[in-house]
Amino acid sequence: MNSPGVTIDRDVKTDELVINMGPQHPSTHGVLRVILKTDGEICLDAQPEIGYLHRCAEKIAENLVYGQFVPYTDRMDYVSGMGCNLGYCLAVEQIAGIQAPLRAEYLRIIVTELNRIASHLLAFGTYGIDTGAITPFLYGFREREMILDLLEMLCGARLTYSYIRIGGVDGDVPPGFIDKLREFIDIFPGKIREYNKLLTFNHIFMKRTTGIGVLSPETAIAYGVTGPNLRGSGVRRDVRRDEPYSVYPKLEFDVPVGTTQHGGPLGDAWNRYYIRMKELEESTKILKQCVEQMPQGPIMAEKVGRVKPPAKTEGYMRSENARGELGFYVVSDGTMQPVRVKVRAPSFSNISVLPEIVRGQMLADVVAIIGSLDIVLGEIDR
Amino acid sequence: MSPSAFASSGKPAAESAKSNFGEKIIDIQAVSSDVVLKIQPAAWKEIHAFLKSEGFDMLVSISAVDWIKENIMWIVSHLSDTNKQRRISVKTDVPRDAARVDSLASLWRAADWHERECFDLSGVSFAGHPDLRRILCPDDWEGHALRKDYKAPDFYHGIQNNVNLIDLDNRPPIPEIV
Amino acid sequence: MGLLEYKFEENIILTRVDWFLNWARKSSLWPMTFGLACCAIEMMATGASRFDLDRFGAGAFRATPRQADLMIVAGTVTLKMAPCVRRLYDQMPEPRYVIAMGACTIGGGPYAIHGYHVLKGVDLIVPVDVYVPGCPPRPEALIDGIRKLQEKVQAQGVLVRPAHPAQNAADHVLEFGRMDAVRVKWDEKLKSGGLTPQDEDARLEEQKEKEKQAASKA
Repeated sequence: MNSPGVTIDRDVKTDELVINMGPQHPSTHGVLRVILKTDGEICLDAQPEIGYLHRCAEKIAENLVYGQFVPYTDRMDYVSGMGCNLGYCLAVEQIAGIQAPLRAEYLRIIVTELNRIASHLLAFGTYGIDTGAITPFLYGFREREMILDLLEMLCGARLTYSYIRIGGVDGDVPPGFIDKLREFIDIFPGKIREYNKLLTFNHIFMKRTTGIGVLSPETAIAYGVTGPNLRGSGVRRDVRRDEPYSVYPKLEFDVPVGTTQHGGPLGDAWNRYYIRMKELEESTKILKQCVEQMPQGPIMAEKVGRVKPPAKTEGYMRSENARGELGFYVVSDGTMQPVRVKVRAPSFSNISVLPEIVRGQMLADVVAIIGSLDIVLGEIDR
Repeated sequence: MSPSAFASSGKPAAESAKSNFGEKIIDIQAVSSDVVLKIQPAAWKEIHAFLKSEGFDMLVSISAVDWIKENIMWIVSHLSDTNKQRRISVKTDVPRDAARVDSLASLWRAADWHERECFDLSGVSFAGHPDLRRILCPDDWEGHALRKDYKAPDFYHGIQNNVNLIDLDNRPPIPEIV
Repeated sequence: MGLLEYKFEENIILTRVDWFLNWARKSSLWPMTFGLACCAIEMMATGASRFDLDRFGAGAFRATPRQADLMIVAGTVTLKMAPCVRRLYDQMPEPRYVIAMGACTIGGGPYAIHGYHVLKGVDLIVPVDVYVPGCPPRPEALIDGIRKLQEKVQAQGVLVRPAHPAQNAADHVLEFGRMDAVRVKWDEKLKSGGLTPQDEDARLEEQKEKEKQAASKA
């Protein structure tokens, strides 16, 4: 008992302890390995070790013709493969001088935004598991299956689509697709309210995630953090709005940024999570506009054939994937195979900031912080 | 709108760099996506420091391109301005056998990992980097995979790694349910 | 005992120990949470709302190998990851089973030819019981693989194991680092019983020749 006026000597000495977390760990979202240095329950340092899923995609790209690399982009960010398809195809179209028809551009945005919703739903579900709630996972997957059904109608695959091709898209929408999409757009806002009730404003969840892993805007920009993680720190940057590509200039949507209304600082784990929930609403808005605006017409540019950009041309394409700014740097030497395809993966930069935001936090919060960054290892290691 | 609508947004900064550095900037090129500053390798760090002071606050990527016939490597960086939506790219040529530039890790923290990746896969060394070691491949990996003359090892710690040497007939058949 | 109490008369069930133990074993396969890449997302989907792996008694995903008896290798195994996979397998208690899920785990998949850092098939380092092809396999396919494994578990002997190629392979793989010894000479008995790729080739060639002869006659 600690009676007034009496101080108890705290002579409990703790040693520094190095703890290995991963690569097989249920909360590292794949095969991330983190080497933690702890003092008691306080985490002094965390060094992420990556490369356990290095699948040599950039080397493979140099050995294939341009079109053949599209399936490999699916497998980079395997949670939102359409976004990677789009980024790569736009990058090749940019240096080869191909312009996709308008209907194809709208179809591309529809599938990319659907995939963004699916990706954020996965993040929502797994973040629930990371913080100790299993139910959100089942709720999130329920609606995710609806989206996967829609995408399956288009291209037959549930996860690795290769639907977006250089010069357009693979095929036009099957009958009944637009009706099913409208149905989804109608019911989904209600589901978002359900999620918010279930997890976002759940008192226990907010206590668990508020104020941990605070990422200041300056640190975020210095480390090249992008996407919902950067916006959670209060920086209003979104490539879709700032440097728009495809048909994004014709669409209206907000770019949500972090708040302090929940009683915590800007850029904490809850903010990063909440941006994703807000983006679900924005993506639904975009889908609604796309369905209304989409014109009739061809879905593939004419005479694409074998893509052969002129010699020594290069181009860097920025696009906004579910996790942040995805860049494809494509260099051509005038043959049918690229000399270099460099992928600037958003998760790669996002996870590199981990030592900064973990330092001084409790050991039990490390899992909640890694989960709030929403990384995909396939994209980090490529 | 075509994606290249922002391609020329780095032009004023490039011209102001040209007036400051003169000979060190070889050329200002306009490619489909960016304005590219082609510079001398020795001025790699100071030009980046200048661009950072101009407002390009985010280092987006560092990559290397291997041109084996010309016996050179390009080292290319892409920068973004998060406030004014500008972009610029810096490129330099280095010889293949002495691919070496100064590290940017003291300017942007992001450069740390990007340079480690560039070292791991392309074999470019960065002078002054705090911790230049492999990042994707294991520490005992040999060679740099994105060099054009790279040959993958047939064995790695005793594991057969060449798919052409693996005897497909000796692969286990799909087990029969007894 | 709630609902079931007094619903049945008191009775005796007669069965074999083998059958009973195997039945118990197959009805509660506990897989290890072992997501490596894309296939892991489909594995999660298999465990989630729509597909509900729990119906088959295999939904209790364990985070540690010590409590698991089924390793679903879901995703590309790289050379950097291979020692970890091997060690996790070694840490699992017997009897243990492995499902190779997806093209990458079966033989390198799309990364087989140019992927310098990708393991060309997980059967190079651990014995595999059931292969589930696909890139990634659909959840239905994974469930089918688990059903196949359950059939297999039901058929095995408890005290004396039947000579099974995968189990023989486990004897050969003693330490990591001598992995080239893993190229196992498969049991001749099984080969004579089952259809090998060579047999299939011979059959196809025979068929072709017959067709040729038929064509020349005509």
